[in-house]
Amino acid sequence: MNAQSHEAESAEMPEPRRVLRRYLLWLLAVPVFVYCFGFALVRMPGFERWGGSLYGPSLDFGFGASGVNADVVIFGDSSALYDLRPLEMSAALGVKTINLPNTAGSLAVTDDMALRDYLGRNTPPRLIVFYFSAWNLDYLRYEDMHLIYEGEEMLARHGSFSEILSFAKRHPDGPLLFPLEMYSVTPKAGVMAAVRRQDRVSAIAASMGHMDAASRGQHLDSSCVISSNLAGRLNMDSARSLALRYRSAQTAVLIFIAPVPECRNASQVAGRSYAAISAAPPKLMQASSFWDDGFYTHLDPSAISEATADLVEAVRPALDGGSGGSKP
Amino acid sequence: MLFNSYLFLFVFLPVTLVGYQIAGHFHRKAVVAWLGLMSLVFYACWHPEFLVELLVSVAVNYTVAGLISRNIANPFASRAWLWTGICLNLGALGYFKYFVRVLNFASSAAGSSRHWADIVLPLGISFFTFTQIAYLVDLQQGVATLQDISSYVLFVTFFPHLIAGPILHHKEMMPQFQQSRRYQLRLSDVAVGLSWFIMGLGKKVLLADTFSETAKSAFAVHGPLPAILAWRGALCYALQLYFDFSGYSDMALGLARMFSIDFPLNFSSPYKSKNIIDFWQRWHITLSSYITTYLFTPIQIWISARRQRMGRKVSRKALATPEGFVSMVAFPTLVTMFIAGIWHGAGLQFIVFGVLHGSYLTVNHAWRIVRHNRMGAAMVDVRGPLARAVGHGSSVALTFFCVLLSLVFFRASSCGHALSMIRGMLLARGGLSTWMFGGETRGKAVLDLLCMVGGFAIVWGMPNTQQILGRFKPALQVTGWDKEETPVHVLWSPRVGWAFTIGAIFFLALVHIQDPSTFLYFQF
Repeated sequence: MNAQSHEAESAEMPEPRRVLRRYLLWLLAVPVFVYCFGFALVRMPGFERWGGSLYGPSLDFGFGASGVNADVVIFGDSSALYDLRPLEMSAALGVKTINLPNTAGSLAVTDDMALRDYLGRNTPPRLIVFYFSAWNLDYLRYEDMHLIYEGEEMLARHGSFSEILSFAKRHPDGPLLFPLEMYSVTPKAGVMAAVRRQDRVSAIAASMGHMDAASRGQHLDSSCVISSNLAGRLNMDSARSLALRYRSAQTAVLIFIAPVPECRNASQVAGRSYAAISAAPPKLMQASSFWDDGFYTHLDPSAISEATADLVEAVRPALDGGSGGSKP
Repeated sequence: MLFNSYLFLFVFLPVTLVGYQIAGHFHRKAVVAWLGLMSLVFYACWHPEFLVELLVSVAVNYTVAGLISRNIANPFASRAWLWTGICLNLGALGYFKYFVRVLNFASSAAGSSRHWADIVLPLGISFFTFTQIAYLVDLQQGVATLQDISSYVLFVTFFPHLIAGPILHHKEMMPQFQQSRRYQLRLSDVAVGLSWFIMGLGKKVLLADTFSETAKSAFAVHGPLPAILAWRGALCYALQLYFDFSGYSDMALGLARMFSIDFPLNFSSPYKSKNIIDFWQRWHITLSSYITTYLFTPIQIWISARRQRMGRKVSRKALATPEGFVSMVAFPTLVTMFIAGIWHGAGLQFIVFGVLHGSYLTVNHAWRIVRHNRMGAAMVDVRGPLARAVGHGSSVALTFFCVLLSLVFFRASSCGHALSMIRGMLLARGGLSTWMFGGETRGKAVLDLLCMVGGFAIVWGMPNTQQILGRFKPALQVTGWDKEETPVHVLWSPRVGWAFTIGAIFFLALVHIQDPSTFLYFQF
């Protein structure tokens, strides 16, 4: 065996065992401390301002909105975040409108946490609009685990211990890896925001929950085909459960399906029945109005007003009619 | 299983260390059996079906080793068994690595459109095959003795070296597995080994993977590239390969050290080499040593014997003649490096890589002879310090440039692809802005440039990990730089400052290994 080295070691280290033990202890203490600190860091006030992931500051808006007391609350996936302008809706309807931002990935983790939090701090709205892409109606079964980080971030930041524990039961590695992912994601997003001089928190608050999409590359064209992975998602359980949970005497509920690009297989989605959730089939819009970003749902800014106006038209009778809305 | 994965770091390694400690309370054989078992688990975690191939290889070789040992008194029989073993090993290697490629090449050459799907290569097949061939050869020559099966299995499969080396020699390993000592975790070895492992992990995750994207995107282009992109791609690949292989080697040696086992050194700042001979004494050292012992030397001995039979001289003087040099140096060198090239892969580009290095080595040897003849035996350097520094810098730069050209072939998907890349490097294409930024955003170009400057500053300006750990004899060999003076402030010692530094590297590496990437040498 390496006898020479052990002799050398004795010569180099007067108290080898004590020194070595202290060395190993400190070596492991550094990563353990920084790792644990990650859980505390994410719950600190102001984290979303100087840290946070790409969507973090936007998603955080829904949790901080107190005293808003909006008449219309929109709760949906990223199609609601990108494709609707709540301020335009407020102007058109003459009532206060807010969107509580989510993404499909975050919904898979937080479910309706943001909505519950909002309702706990504000008076009940007259109408809650659940606005989803046709393929995100069962968001709790979302399979792309790469996109759930934003949800984990919100859960770690705003969730109770029991909510975190409940998520850990479903995804044991999620909470364990969360601090590592946070340290990986946060500096990049923070640096990017600093370079672009964006105040993401103020921007989302000023728009009442609308996020402007930076260019997402190319637009779709009429030869597009919605991926079977999306078009084949037929289940609507999550949306149905939301409507059942939140419909009350004071609050009407409306489920609205976001527009779908006129791709070659669009009828597979638009021609389907949405009677189970009392929703109208999605409107088909020109494929070139959508970004080709793999989600088939995010609109070019020039088409957002049209999508917003469509929702306004759907909301108006529900507001006029008072309570009621959909009856899934 | 990858060294740079959470499963390895937080499950496999702790379990193996604890099991080692427990087994150590019983008997040496329990320790050997435990490490052997865990090594097989480690291998099976990747592709369980490969485990069968590994076990078959070990079983066949151990059986052949037994037959050689039993017939050692009968040179004819033992040699026959040796050749049987070599043929079986090379046959398996040839089947997995080359058979389908050659078949497809022949099919294309014959104008047929029929192509066969590639066979999935069992991980580390070259490494465990070479290790076992060397053992059989030495056994037949009486240099090695037959070992018990558990020691043999551990020698071949010990997980730190199983996938990508270093190529172990039984003479270095067997005594360590069989020594009667207390098989317990030694705090000193765990501290040195863990620190070394983390340094390697940092090199792989924080450095090699940083350069991989730029290298990948440059080599993904098969058409003509602007000069700056071609250079950037080639240089980033050189850095990626350097830190990847260096990181892997550090991790392998560090892991072995945690179990108080010393591995041979495999990587020693090769880009600091001042000539190609020096380069091959620093790059994949165990492969160089292997091919020297089992290829170059036998070829040279065979040639010398043949020359003697023909009445020609084999002296140093004869070696300095053009005819003697060609037959005794150039020929064995080119053949050896040609085979080393093929060892890396079945493509023509690997052969060019090998032949290029064979040519470099031949020129280097010729230069040494010419210089020796001109200056005589006492080659005293009478240059001043500045001239010496400039001379040294030029030698290092020239050696690196030669290596860089060969690495383009090493990375490219074909010879045509490599030539297109080299053409891009040598011919300045495009306008000034294209030349400056390669048609990319200024930010990306500047960031890449800064990363490369940082990478080369580490490569050329910093001591390597063996030097940093030099007080604790990190590997088996004593090398040239062991005698060089390393600044005291960079020498590792188990102090709190180092604990913080290594701990921080460990944490940063953990943050960056969420999608672990494989090591480049896995493909061999």
